[in-house]
Amino acid sequence: MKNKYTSLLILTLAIFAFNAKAQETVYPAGPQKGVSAIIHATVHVGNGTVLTDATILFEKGKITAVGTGIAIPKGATEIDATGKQVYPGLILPNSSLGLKEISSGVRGSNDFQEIGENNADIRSIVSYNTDSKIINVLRSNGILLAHVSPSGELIEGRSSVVQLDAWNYEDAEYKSNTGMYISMPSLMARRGGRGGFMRGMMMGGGGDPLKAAFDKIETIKTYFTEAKAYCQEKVHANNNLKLEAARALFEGKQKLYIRANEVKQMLLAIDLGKTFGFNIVIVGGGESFQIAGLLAENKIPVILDEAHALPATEDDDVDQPYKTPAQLQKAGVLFALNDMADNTKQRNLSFNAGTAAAYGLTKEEALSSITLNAAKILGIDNITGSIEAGKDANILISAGDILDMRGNQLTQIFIQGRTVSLDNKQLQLYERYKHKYGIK
Amino acid sequence: MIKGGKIAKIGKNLSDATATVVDGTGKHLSAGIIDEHSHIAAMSINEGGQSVTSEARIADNLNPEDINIYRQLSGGVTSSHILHGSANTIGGQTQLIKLRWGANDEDLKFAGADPFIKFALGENVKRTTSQSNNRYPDTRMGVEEVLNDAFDRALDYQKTLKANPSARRDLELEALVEILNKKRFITCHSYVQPEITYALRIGDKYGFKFNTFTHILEGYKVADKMKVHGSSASTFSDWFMYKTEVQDAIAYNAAIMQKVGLNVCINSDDAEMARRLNQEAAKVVKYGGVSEEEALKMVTLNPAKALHVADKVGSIKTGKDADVVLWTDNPLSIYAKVEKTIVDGIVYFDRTKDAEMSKKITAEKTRLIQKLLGEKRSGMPMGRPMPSFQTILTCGDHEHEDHMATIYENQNN
Repeated sequence: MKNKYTSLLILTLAIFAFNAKAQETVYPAGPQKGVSAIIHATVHVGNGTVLTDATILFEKGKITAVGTGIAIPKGATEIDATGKQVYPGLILPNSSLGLKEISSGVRGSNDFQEIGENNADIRSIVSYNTDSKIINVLRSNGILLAHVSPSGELIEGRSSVVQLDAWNYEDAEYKSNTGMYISMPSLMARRGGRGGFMRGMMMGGGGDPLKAAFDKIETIKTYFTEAKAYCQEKVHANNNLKLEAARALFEGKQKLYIRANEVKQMLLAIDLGKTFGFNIVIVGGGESFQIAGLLAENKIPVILDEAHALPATEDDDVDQPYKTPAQLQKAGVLFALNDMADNTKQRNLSFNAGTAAAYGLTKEEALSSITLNAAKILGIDNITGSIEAGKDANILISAGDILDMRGNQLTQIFIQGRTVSLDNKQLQLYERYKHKYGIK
Repeated sequence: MIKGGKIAKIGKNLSDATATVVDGTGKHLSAGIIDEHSHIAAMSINEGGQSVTSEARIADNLNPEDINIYRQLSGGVTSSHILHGSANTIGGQTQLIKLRWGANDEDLKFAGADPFIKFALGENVKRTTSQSNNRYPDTRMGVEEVLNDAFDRALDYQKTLKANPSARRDLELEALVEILNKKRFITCHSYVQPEITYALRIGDKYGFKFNTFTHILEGYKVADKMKVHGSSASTFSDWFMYKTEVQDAIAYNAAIMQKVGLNVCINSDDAEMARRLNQEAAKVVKYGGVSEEEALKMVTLNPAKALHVADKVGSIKTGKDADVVLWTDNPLSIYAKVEKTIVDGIVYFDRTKDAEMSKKITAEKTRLIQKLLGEKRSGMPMGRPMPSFQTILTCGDHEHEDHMATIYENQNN
């Protein structure tokens, strides 16, 4: 079987070979110049619709027109997308990107998890390393935006959304202080063996893991109660950075992202949101399929951390994690797909969506789950997430279906209208060793 | 046509009055997937107390009740090579199994397969993530010398036995003598080019072959040397950056090694990913433009060759074992789902039947919960509910998301 993308790949790679760059000389792109027009494109808008033989115009980084029969302004740069598929840039909705470089064995390369129970005031963005070797690899697989969150024991800190083509974190920041992250304590009793009894002991609560969990939940509630009082005070006897950090939550300008996989954790999360009037997002959502109706009713969005996962329990259906997205869709839950397995798997975001499509979503619903839905959850759907006039020109052009390994082959990507490099360290090493062996 | 567990005939208009007919219209049939690197179906994986544990045998501690056997079947896997972990340089003896879900430990074993052993080089062996390693070796220099020392001792042992056949048997050295005599074969966990090279040279020096380099994410850097030596390569499709020794891991690894002429396999080392090895193979089409036929071989015929069982499995050929998979689509498509997985002519996974069983399990679970609630209401004494955690064994090689009722037991812990 001849691979129809081979020739295209060779062409793409030939361009890289000609430029012969190192990762360090893959430069962030300058601002878009003039008007660009992608023509004859099959446009997957991101909201469920598909346009054929369509034109996309963008200028000054913004999409100005999308549709058929659009006149191309004089002097516009034409990009012919005949036979190709055009998509909105993918959004990784929850990650440690830029904070965690080499996850195992190199403590110095990791800045994703702070010490202590309450780190409400820390901000992930200040640790975001734009020179991470992972970023360019994700970008070449279509991920143009990422939500970067701190991890921790309980109250974890604040997150930001970044765009993946930047000189430094200030350039990268796409939406600042998107949300505050907390981790809902597990209410599963543990005993015996590694990660069991000892873990329970270390939790406190006199060795009773359930009591330890409830103590921690009380800590969360106490914090927000105090923060509420603090934020209502006109004058403070003493400033308190941790309490101040919750102000945006009370003002409704920020969302509370709650890491929760078990049904009980999610129920507590919903309760917490109601008590304090927060907009909450469930992150993880392993068992969300069991309470899909309840989540929809309460309008609680879910970031599903991994579609490519084993069933959580032995008696779950063998393909449960694959079909969870379709079950949420059916119930009317707003959800986005993620791949939390960091360095090993994040680049496969679009294939998680592909699997979800194999197990019940339509292809366009699956696409929304890694584009527009994520934008809605992160509160950036007014500027990105779909190919619509007025939004940022965050656009992918692929030789084929990006949800399928056999079609996913990006030929051009744009972030805010800028033509961004598809090069990365892996492609450069590929070139280096093709050279060694004389492989064409 | 499948008869007596074997592929009897392949062709058009075959007939047999006694045959059960499966309609494959619009569907794809492939050979069963073979996972060269797996840690399912075992009670324990790492005997890491010392650097040479060639006497330890996975065969002695198989766990035929591991639900992951069934889960792998749902992804079209029919054989898995169960390896010792990577906590030490010379690990234990491996066991190739067929996924005969429901069989006992003896009957899981792949009959007549050559015996293998797991070796490991690099960070895991050096106990890199340990804050207080005091076990030799702590560097790649030491790892190389552990190998030299082990095979020198094996040569001495061989001499001693020749001189005195009733000398006390040493099971550790006996396994190494089998390697020297090409009766046992190595699959060697390794990543970076210097360690691959010194392993090849040790093989040359003692006159044996490193049969397979597994994981081997820098195999692309020394593919020419591996080819001269005659090794197979079994790799991850696209993992990278999870530790220092995989900083130069590239998704084009398999494609380069294949183009240099190596026998290349894609492995899982992961109970979850093993269910999607067809997708992992498809990535080799994306990264490096390998043809679809060659990519599919990387999870079927090529691992069969690496494991010396290509005469029995790995392709759909008359006379071979009837280990086949019926897919809803081209198996390299992300949209392909397994309909039936057949091992030795027996259907061990059937999606329709699975859905029926799932309904029964849900009904039974509901019945039990109602019964418990009833007893609670009637004032019976209650215990605290306790989930039954599954322990997932791994090489200790990569980070896992913890699932709710799952404990990943890494050798690093």
